[in-house]
Amino acid sequence: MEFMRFRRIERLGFLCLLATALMSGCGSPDTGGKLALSGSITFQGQPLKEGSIEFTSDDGNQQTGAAIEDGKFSIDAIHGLLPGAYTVRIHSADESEVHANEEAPGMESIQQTATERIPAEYNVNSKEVVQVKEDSENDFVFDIP
Amino acid sequence: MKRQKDSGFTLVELLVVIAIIGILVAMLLPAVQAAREAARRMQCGNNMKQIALATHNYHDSYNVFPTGAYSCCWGTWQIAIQPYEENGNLYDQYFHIRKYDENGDSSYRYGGSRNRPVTTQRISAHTCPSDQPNAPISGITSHNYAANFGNTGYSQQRSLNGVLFAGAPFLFTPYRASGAKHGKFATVTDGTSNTLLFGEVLQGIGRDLRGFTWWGDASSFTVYLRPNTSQPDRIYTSYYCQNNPRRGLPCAVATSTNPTMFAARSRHPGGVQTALVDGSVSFVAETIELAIWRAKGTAQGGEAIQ
Repeated sequence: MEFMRFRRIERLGFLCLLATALMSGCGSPDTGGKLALSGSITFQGQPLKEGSIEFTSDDGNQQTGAAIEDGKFSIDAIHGLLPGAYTVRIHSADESEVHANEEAPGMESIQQTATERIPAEYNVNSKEVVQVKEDSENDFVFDIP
Repeated sequence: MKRQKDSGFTLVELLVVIAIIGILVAMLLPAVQAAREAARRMQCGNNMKQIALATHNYHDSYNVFPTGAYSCCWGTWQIAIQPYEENGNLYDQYFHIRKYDENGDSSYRYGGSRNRPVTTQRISAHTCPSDQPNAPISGITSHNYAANFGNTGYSQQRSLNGVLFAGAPFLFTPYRASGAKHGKFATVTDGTSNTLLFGEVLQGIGRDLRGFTWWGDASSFTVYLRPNTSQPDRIYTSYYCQNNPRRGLPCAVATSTNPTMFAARSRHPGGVQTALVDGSVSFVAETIELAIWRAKGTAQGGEAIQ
C-alpha cells in the first residue's frame, strides 16, 4: 500500500513536469491592438510582380508597409495597424533603363534611377484610402489600370 | 530480496530524474542563448560608442562632421573617421585626392583598383557580432553602422510623402558638387542629446547591398522608416536588392518617386541601438512612436520630444 502510493505521487509529479514543459512558450504576443494586413495588387490586369506598398494615417504618425511579391503582400500584426483610415501608396520600378554593374555598384558611368510604372494617383498623389477594421479580414485588393 | 530492491533505482525513478534534468536544461538553454546575445549586443553598442567618439574627434580637427557620402562612390564618412579609430593605415592607403572620375578613370572610386586594398578589409569596430558578416561583390566588405541622413531618402529630398526634410548631422554631397557638404554641432539645433548620429543596419545576404557602407547609398539610414520595419529598404536595382522579409531584410527597387533609403535594422530582439550626437549610445525599441523616432532623426526640426 505504502509502495503503491509512492508510485502514484511519482507519476503525478512526472505528469505535472511534463505538462509544464509542454506549456512553456505558449501564448500569443501582445500587438497593442494592431491588426494584420494582407492583399493582392494587379497592374494592367496582371499581378504586380514586384514593388512596395505603404499605408499612412492622415496625421502621418501611423505607417506600415511591405514589399510586393508576385502580386501579393502580407504584414503581420506586430507590424500592423490600428483600426482607422489609411492612405495607400504603391510603387513599382521599370528597370529597363537601369544597368547594374556586376563588378561593384556605382561603377556604371553614373548610377541610374528606375522609372515609376504605377500612375501618380496611386502614389505621389494618392487618393486611395482604405479602412482598417477590427472585425474584418483586412484583405485588400487593388486593381491598377 | 528486500535488500536488493533498496539498493537500486526503479525504471520510473530513473525516468523522472531524466525528465527533470531535461526540463532544467530546456529552461536554461534559452537563458544562456539570451545571455550570449546580450553580450553581443553590448559589444555592438561599444563599437558604436567608438565610432561616435571618433566622429567627435574628427569634429575637433575639422570643426565639421565628415560629409555623409561623396555621391555614390568616392568615399563615405566611414573612411573619413578611420584615423580616429586607430586605423590610420587604412586611411592613408585610400586615395582621397580625386573625387569623381576624370577622363573615364574610375580607379579612384571605392571599388576602383586603387582603393580595393582598403575596401576589401573588414573593420572589426564596424562589425556587429549579432549579425552575419558579408562581402557582396569582389570581396568588398559590408558593415553594420550607418550615418543618420535625416527623415527623407538617401539624397535628402526636401520632402517625401508629406514629410519635410529638417536637417541631419550627416549631409549628402551630390555628384560633382563643388565642395563637400558638412553638418556640424552648431547646426544640430534640436540639441545633441535629442538627435541621432548613427544607427545600426543589417548586412545583406549574398549580393544584396544592405550594409555596404563603403558605397554612398548604403552608408546612410533614414528615420522615415521605423526601426526593424516591415517596409522595404530601397536599392536602385533588383540585381542588388534581394527581398527577404523572413530574415528581416525586405527590399524593393527604388524609383523616381520612391527614393533610395535604408531603415535602421538589427538582429537584437526588440529594437536597434543608436548613437546620439552627444556620443551616448542607447537602445531604441522598434515599437517607438513614429513621430518621436522621426523627431530624433532631424537636426533642425524644432520638435518637442521626451
